[in-house]
Amino acid sequence: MPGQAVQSQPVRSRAQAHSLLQKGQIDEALRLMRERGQRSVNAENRELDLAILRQAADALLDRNQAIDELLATADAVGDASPTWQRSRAEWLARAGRLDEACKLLAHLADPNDPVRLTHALVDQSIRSRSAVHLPREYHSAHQGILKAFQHYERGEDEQAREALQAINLSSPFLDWKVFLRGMIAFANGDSAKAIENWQRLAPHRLAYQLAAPFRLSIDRNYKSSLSDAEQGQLRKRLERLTDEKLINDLRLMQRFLSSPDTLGLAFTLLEDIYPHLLRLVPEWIPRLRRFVEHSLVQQGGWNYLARLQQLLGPSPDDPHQNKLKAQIAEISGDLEKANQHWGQYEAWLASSPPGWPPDLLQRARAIVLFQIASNGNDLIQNLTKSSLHSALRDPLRRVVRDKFLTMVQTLKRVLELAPDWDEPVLRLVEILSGLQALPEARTVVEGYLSRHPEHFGLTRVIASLCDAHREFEAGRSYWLKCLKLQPLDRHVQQRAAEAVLRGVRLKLRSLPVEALEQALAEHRPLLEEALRPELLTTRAILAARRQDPQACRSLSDEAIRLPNERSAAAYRLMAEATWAGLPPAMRNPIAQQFQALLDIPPTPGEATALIRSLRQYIHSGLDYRGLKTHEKLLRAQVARCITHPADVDELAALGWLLQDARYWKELRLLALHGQKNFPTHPLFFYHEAAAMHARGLNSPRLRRLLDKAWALWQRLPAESQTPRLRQKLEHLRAEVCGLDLLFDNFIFSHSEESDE
Amino acid sequence: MNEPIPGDPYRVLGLRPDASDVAIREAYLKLVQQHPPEREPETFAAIREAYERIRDLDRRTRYRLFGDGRWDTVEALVEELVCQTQRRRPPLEALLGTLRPPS
Repeated sequence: MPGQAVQSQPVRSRAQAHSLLQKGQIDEALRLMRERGQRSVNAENRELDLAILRQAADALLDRNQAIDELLATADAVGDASPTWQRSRAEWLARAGRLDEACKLLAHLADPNDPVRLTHALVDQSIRSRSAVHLPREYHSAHQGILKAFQHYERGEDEQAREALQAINLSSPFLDWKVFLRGMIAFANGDSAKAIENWQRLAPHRLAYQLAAPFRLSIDRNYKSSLSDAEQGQLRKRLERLTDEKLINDLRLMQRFLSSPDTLGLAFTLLEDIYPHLLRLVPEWIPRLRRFVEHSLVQQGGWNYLARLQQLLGPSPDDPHQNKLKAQIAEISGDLEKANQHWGQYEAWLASSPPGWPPDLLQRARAIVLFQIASNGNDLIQNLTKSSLHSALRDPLRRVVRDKFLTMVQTLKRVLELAPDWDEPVLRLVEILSGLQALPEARTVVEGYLSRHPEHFGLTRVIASLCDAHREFEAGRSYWLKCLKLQPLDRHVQQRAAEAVLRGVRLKLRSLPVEALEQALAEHRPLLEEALRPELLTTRAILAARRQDPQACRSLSDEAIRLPNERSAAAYRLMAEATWAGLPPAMRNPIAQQFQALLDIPPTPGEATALIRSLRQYIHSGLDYRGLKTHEKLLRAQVARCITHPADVDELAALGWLLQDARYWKELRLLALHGQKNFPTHPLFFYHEAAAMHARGLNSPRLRRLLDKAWALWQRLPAESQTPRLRQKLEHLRAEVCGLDLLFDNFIFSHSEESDE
Repeated sequence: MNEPIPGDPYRVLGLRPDASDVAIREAYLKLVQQHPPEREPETFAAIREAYERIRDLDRRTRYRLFGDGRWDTVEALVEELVCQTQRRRPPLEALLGTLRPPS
């Protein structure tokens, strides 16, 4: 054919000879090679020729046929190298022509040759099961080996060993004896003994070759001495001892199971091979079932469930296939249907089916119910994302609330069944908090912690819940417990310190000074580390209560001198002095100091410290007289602070604080200032968008701001892309763009109707 | 113990399916002492993997419910079949047959 490489005649004849050998036409193969009439100059090709002749030799000798044609062919295409000579000699030996073989190799003067040739003869006699070429003195050993094999095959190990008894250490059949002893040990599962025997086999012997694949499966040292290709070949040989068709069908079935379009073919194959598997490896059937079920789940194989049931029978663990159906439904996204089937499966488990230990059964029910709750959560997410009602709020809220209440019930059932499992507790508390059922959330956590007091995650949850519920005393105790459990957690250190200080501040008026100072001293290192500025101001107030103006002044000055604390420290002194009920003589100078310091516009850093201090009092319930007024006053500082030269990190810190505090007006002001000074930073565009969105100002500008923020974000170097901004930006975009999309679709569909 | 059969953690650890946490841990510790990683890294890894899959009630239950279909492959079954057949005393004829090229 044009374009095809033209094969040379030797290559063609070599390939043809190989093909003829495969078909068992040995004489024709040899004739073809002789007719080629030339000895290849290429060493590699000569090796190929030798390989073909070796194959031919095996075929001829196994049939006890004459090897003269073989030898003639070897003369035609081979050479007089030791390799070729040894091959010829081996063939002669195997054919019983030992003397000729020895003569052929005499010139090589290798003392091992005669022994090797005898071995070749002996191996051939086992291979052909015929002693016809063997010297008479070897006949009984030959018989012994064959008999031993028969006993071995029948499992008559003692008789096999007896048959091997007569073969001594000098016998050329010794390798066969050792091989068989290894096979007996292997059949009995004694790998160590099998290896011990097979390690003694000579590599040039047939017994060594026969042992190789078995040795591969148990002897790691041997395995590691082989290349990957050699290992692969030995494995293939082992597979040939098993039903090759069955193995091929299994592999094909696996391929068919990996696509929904070929599941039918997979099942046809499975129906065909199942009886063989049942016969050969009955204990594997449950794994086969799981493997097929897994494939059906992955491929959405609804239509094959009945067929699976018919073939393998009902699964003892899922007789109505509810679990399987639930999993298929989940993968295909039909969570309602999935939950329906999970519910049915749980009901079946609740009927105490046989074969389930009680603790496993209980846990299984809990896991299934938790899965139902998780699906319920996903259903709610999908509902709020996709429904037009998300723009209309109220109907959705009712629907969502009902679904959450169902989840609460389900999770409570999970906890009844698995009271030691923390994940459902966390999920339940999350939902209850969202439903504003804080006392119930707290009860749930406290119930769990009464059994698992060292659980850090839930201790932290309940500490936060107590704070949210303004049960500060309980919160403090839980934060300190968290600190004990995780002393190096920075966030916990901060919260614990705040809780301790809050406890002292709240009692500034009511408890004796000594008690309060003792409370601070107990946690001094923690407070110094986490809240040094705040600690100083509170200590200053305590000093004032103690009638120690010098100490008070010293501590106040120290607090005010701290970086960014100029006005914040003055504010705190004033706030706590008011709260502590200090007499006017002490309070007035503090108030004046505060006013004087506030006359100077704060820097953004100072404004951050001010707002943070304010928020601490608001969160703590430290509702001192004048708090509302001060809140307005301090918020007004934001507008003043932006007159200072801007530092992007300071502005960013202030921005986040204003956002957390929901001071939208101030946030927008800061954002505009930030956009002007840092036009390539996405944060300030995001802040303005967040402020607008929070106030319901969903104008086109909002969308433009978000687009700009996103574009700038993507241009930021990787190290500047903070996860917090990314998350917030994505969330806001999803909210804003989701609404836009809904409205666009609504408007579009309505305009179509009006066209009609 | 001979080579563990892949796939079934209970079989690897030589336990019944209703074994408790304590029994599982004891079996695991006994086996890793017998098959330390520096001497038998593959066996040790198989024992360790089996233990991880069923070492507490939650994991055992999930294994029972959801199994290991996703990790199992037909190759594991082929190896199992081959392993079974090996130990079934193949006759000499069959052994010699593996040396011949496949037809």
